[in-house]
Amino acid sequence: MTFVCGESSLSFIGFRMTDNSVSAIPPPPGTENPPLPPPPPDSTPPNQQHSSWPPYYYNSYYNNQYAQYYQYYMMNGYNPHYGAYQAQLANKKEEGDKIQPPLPPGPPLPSTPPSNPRPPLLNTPKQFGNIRFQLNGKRLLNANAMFQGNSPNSGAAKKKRKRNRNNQNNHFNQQINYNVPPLPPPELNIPKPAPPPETMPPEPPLPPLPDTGKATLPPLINQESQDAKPSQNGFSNPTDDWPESLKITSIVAMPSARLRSIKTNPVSLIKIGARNHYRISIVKDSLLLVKLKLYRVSWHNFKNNSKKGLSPGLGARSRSRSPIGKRSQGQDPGALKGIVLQVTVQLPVTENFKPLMKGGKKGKGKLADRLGPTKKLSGKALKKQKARRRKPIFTPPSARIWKKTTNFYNREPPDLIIVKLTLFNDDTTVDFDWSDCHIVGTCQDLEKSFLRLRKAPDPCDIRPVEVLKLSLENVKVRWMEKQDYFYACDQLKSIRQDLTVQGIRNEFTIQVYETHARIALEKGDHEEFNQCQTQLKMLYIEIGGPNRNEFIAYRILYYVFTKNTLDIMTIMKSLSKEEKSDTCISFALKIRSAWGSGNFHKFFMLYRVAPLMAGYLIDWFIDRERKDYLKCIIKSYRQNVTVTFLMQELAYGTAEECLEFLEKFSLSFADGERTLVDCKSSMAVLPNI
Amino acid sequence: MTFMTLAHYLQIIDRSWRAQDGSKIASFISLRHEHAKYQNYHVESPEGLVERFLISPIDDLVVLHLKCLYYIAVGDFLEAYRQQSTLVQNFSKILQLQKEENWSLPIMYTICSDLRLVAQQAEKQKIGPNENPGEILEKAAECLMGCFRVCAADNRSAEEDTKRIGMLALVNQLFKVYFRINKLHLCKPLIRAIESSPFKECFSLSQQVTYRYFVGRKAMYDSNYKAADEYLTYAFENCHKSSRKNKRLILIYLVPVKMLLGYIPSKKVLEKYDVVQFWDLVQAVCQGNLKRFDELMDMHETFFIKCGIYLIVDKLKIIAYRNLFRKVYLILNTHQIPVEALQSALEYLGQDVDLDETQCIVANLIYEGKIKGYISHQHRKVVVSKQNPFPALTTLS
Repeated sequence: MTFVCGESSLSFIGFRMTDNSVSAIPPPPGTENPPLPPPPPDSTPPNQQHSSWPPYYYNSYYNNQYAQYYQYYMMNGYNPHYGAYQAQLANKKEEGDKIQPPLPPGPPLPSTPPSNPRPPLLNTPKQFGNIRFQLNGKRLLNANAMFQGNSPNSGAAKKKRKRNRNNQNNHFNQQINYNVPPLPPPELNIPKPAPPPETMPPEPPLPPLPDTGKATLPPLINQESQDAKPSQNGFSNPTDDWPESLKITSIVAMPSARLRSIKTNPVSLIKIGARNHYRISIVKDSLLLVKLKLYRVSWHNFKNNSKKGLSPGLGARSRSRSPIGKRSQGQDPGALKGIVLQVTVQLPVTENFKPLMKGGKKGKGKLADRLGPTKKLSGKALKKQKARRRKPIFTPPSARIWKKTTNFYNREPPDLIIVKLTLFNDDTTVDFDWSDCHIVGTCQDLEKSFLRLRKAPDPCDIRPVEVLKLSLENVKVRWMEKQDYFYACDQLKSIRQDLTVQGIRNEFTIQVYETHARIALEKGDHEEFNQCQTQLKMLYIEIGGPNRNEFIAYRILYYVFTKNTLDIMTIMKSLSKEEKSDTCISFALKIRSAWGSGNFHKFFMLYRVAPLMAGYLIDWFIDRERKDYLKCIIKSYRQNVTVTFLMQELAYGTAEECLEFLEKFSLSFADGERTLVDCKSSMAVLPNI
Repeated sequence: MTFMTLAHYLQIIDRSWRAQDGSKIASFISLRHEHAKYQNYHVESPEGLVERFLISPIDDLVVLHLKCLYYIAVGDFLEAYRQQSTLVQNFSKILQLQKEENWSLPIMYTICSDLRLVAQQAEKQKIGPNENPGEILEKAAECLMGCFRVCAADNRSAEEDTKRIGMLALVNQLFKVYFRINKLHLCKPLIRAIESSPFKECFSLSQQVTYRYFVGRKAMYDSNYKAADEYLTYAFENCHKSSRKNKRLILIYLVPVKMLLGYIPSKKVLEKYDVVQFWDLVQAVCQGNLKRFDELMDMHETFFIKCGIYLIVDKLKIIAYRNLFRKVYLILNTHQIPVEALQSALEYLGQDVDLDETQCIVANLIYEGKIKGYISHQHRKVVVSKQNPFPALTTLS
């Protein structure tokens, strides 16, 4: 794969993925090329950086963080994860040498608008060579490559550069295997953000990638989804793992002037779900992706220029489609099973595609003419588009203007990137159904505020799992430092949302919900807690998890809180003997029993020994029970009861706290020091309690 | 083996439709009717044939019905459910258009209970952990609600042909769904609709029995035992004597409710309806034998939980406490009972309690009026009233 970066006067960057040339840097076709940027690393880069990573990331930091966090992390199944993490790490280290590095970041691009003539956009896919990949349902082998999915190696304008800093620091994994070309100096001084969390169970050791001397493209895979369901397959191995028959012919990205560098990403088709749905997306290997928007997907009859290995009789008909994820007419998605596709991603390089600045009127108008359909198509336009679909090869490139989202963090409007994706196949009869494809996010923001979705989500607003893991880590750290519930809740909700729209349901999802449930528990946010525990209930059924019993116990207590005896019964119905003997669950059942039979004494005794975070949950209704018990005591005891007795019975730590509670009810005291409550004269206020 | 030819069947439906014979169509469109079993009715696409015999709108319904039969025959209850659900939806539209007539209500009763039954089957059949349990039943309930709204909104028709008379049957179907999926809060508006209906007393007795059975159960879960007693007693007394199964179901809820209110069932009735599980429990409670009580709770736990009465039966322990303390009082024959005496009685019966907990139990009984008296914490004594210290439970409000 070749990586070309324009000089100061260039705003165009071409990528080349060829079968045989990796380190060669041919100029993008059609350009009078300026001097090349620093050469990309060799195919087998030195690995010495690996050891230089501070243990901080792997051990102490991670551990400490949890040690300070909740007690339960230490008690409950966290450590196994950690162990698994380390095991995985070891694997990674072993494999380190063999893994092909992602492309290094290019030198910064100047932010001046392009003046050079650009290579022609259309009809040039061949110039860019091929990337191959395979679509036959094989599981992706290279987990490490997945891990590299976040390469920081590209940037755009200032803002992006800023983000880039974070990413580069975050994604140390990607950098450990190759020499990083020098970054712009200021970026080096940025403090490191939270390390990427790794709490997934260990993956089986992965076979090393074939060392082919070609640059490896980080595959686009959602690691999570792979782990979660065997039926989800990613096809993105960029190297020789891909059969001849399926290649990405080329990827051409045209960033605006403000893009500093670009890294290519393989385009992948991911099979999702059981129904042979595929989603298409571009690997989020670079920051470019943040801005990258697949606009149009064209399916072409590939018969004419088909390559060896294309199997006839399978396939999708040539179609152009926009934007990704939008649906077309129904057809049989199953027909794609096992077919070979060829993907071309193109960037327009014609004069007409000037970088768009902030959606300026001029650019918009001009583009709109040639851009083709956006989401809202008039009937006419639709027809036109349909007609265009029949055209065999290379529908006109389209572009989509980056819409500025109402984002809390105020992202900059994006640079215009136009990508054309062409899937080749040898059959023109089948279309396919994107309708229930989940999107794959491309957003790299660590923090994102929650915003209720009112329309179909835009991939550029959605963060992929790798980023979400960092985000979760970030939230945890912030939570420990500041205990700012508003912030934590907001962030966790947006993480949850991103997971939902991407259809990610796995251990990480559980982790997110557990984290939120616990924080909500601690802060008494009933609503969020209930949402989380409802989701967790289903996730545990689907996936299971080490903390399942703990959360079943919370759920029992939550139903005691809501006095929902029916649901308590449902839980009890479902509990097995082993589950009933679990510390947490048996505690919750005892609380339930004491509460149900009005045995307040026992209830408050149990409250004092609540395991894990159960105490927090009981806190939600402890005052309700205290009032009931107080009423009961006042009505049934005569003469006096001591405040000390009440303090013990109501599970208060000190007499002062107890008095504070009692004061609210204007009880009568038998003595001036207020150590004795006069029950008989307090009867008058009984209705007020 | 055939029942009658499909053509014949369609002719009968056609004739009945023209004659507005609701109950005949109802039986012929029922999934539980005899014809459902026969293979010649399992047609995947019966449209062509049906169209030749039937006029709109009944043709639609029959097509869907036959398709539903087909999918049931091939074992695809999910698809069968979809057909039946469309059938009910289409029917509710037809029903809405039939102004001033209610002859088709029997059809509605039949297809609605069929819908629920198919939904239950589909619920069992659906696989995959992604699916929400109860989702299909919930959708079925929505479908039933559609019919319910049509019926409830029909307030212009004369009394003899108002569709509002069909409300109770739908409410009962909805109750069955809601109780199955634990959504009792959804019952409230239905109960209100029935209670405020001018036809409250006109509904058929069988529907009323079903209705009170569910409302009584709901009252029981809401800890409103008096109301529960009232409803369940009505249901039990009016339930047809040949419906032993239903009477038994009612009794399962009626017994604990009655016991909480201080009424003890006779052994005879428990034996008659095969709920002898209660008899030992009744004895344990009456004797205040807490040890036995705990044993029985353990032994019959599954049964009680399955019936959804575990938590109610659990409350009987309070009655057992009361009876035990009464015994201690009678033995000591004093109005000042030492807490220690009560505690040792409890400990003797396998209860692991300390003095404070004993006091707490007594305090609770005093608070609920089951013991008249007070506790003197300083002297660790329970001082009971000289007159009727343990009033009969039935006299408590």
